Amino acid sequence: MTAFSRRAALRAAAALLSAPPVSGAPFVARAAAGRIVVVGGGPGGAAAAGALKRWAPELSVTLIEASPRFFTCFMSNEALTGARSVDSLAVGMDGLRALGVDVVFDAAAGIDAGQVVCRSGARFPYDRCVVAPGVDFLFDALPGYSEAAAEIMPHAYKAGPQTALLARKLAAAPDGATFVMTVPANPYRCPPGPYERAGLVADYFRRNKPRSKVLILDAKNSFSKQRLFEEGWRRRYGYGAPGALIEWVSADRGGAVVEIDAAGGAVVAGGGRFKGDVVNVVPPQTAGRFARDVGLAPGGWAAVDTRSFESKILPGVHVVGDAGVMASMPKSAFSAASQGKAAAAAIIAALYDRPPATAPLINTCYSFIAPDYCVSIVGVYRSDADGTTLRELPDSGGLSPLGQNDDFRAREARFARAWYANFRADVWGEAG
Amino acid sequence: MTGKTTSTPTAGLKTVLAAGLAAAVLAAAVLAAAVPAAGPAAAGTSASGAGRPVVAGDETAAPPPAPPPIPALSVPALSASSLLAAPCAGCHGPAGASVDPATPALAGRSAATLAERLTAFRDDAAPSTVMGRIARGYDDRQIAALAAYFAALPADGANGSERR
Repeated sequence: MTAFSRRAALRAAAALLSAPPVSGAPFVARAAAGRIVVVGGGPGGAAAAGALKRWAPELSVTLIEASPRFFTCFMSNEALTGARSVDSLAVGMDGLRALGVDVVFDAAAGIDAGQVVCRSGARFPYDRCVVAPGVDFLFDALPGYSEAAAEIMPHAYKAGPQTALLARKLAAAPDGATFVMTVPANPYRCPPGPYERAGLVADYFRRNKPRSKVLILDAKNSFSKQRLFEEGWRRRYGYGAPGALIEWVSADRGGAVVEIDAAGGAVVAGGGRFKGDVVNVVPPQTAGRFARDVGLAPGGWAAVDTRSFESKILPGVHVVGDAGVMASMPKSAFSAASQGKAAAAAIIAALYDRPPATAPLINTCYSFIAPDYCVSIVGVYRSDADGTTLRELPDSGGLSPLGQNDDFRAREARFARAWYANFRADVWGEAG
Repeated sequence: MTGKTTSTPTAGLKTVLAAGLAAAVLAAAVLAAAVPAAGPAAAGTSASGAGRPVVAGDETAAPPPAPPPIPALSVPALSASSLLAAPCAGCHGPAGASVDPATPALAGRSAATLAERLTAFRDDAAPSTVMGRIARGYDDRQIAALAAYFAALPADGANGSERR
């Protein structure tokens, strides 16, 4: 356990001495033991904070998040076509406050002597820290791309203003437009996300601008849920035939992007120069800045003990979600929340001097191919005994079966929307 | 004030005590330290959702050899079953109280029904989209623990379910 800072302990002692004497011993426990600071209010951090308070209400849990509203990246592809508003993706932190989490809106900047230090100068001492900063984009890895270029060619891969920008560009595109998407090599957040986006935009084109087309330029030769996507694209968008609404160019066929020409409205890939009426660049990614700045992610992603999600570099600091190296567990919101809860359990076990408990983790990930056509992948994972990796349990998990009828796909679409409502209620304590 | 268990000593806690607290606080801390750790028993498979409390007044034996006199935290509501059930909430809602009618609530349904459904999904005896694939990650013992855990939760849920 990280040592308490002397100053904080004295402050706690002073607070105790000035507290009403009737409260006595329980106040000692609350004030002096078990301070957890969570950095990041996305699904990983929020799930960890909520689980800590639900399981051990007397722990002091502080969540540091830069913005009062978090826009979920999951379901944001629906906002690109007007099927839902960008605002509907926002989730606030009031539900976590109601669970007893102290929510602080500030930018976590570093870790110093067992304290999380914020840009405002505020310092938060911790006994255990949970770091869940998500991903950052490696603008430098793609010549010609930058934050400024993202105003012309949005990434829309962190939800919010970028989502709204890409939605406006798609709405303004003429019939006959080409929508060019670039997809990076693995690993990146939400592996099937770009392909879901391609399908939902194709559905929007089919209904509104039927002479238009989606062109996917990929740095990979295969992708998540590929056979399910291709089956759905064939059924809905004529994929693989002349006049298809979606074309996918693999790396082998020249799809890997080498340069972005934002001013010229084009991208340069192995196969040549591709001009688009609307261009969406999904950039290569790395662990969120906080994780890199404090030295948790020397190789770009944070390595953890997969039993507790405690960093292999900084003791007492747990990393969950997209910023971590999570073996075969994909970078998804559901994975992040599962890991956040598991980290919370490990932290409680450590603080209460209990034997560590572990249980299987789940990932469930839905992808839309059209608004009424959805497929899924699930996985049940368990850490191996020495915490070196997460393994899928034999015979479990996997993809939706191929060859199912529209009714089956529509049921998965209903489950996906129900998942979104329940997941928000669970992770951020949002009222139903 | 219910259960107590000892926790790991820390420099800061020693500092707190060294700073000289009121006698009542010190006495309470010593009392807490005299209570043995709840240990694995409290983390065992329990459908109640809460660890087994250890009541300070029940302890009449001599204190264990010189544990540091620090205040203790009470026993958290973290059981093996609640940890096992934690990922289910992602789709079935907090405390198994689904907020969307497309996904069934789990809280308050009979343990027999829940176990039967999970087993049928796992063994492909009942049709499903995702549940068969998930249930195949769990053995009979885990399915029984999950069923007992959700059966013991209130059917209307802490957040109020089935509002829509």
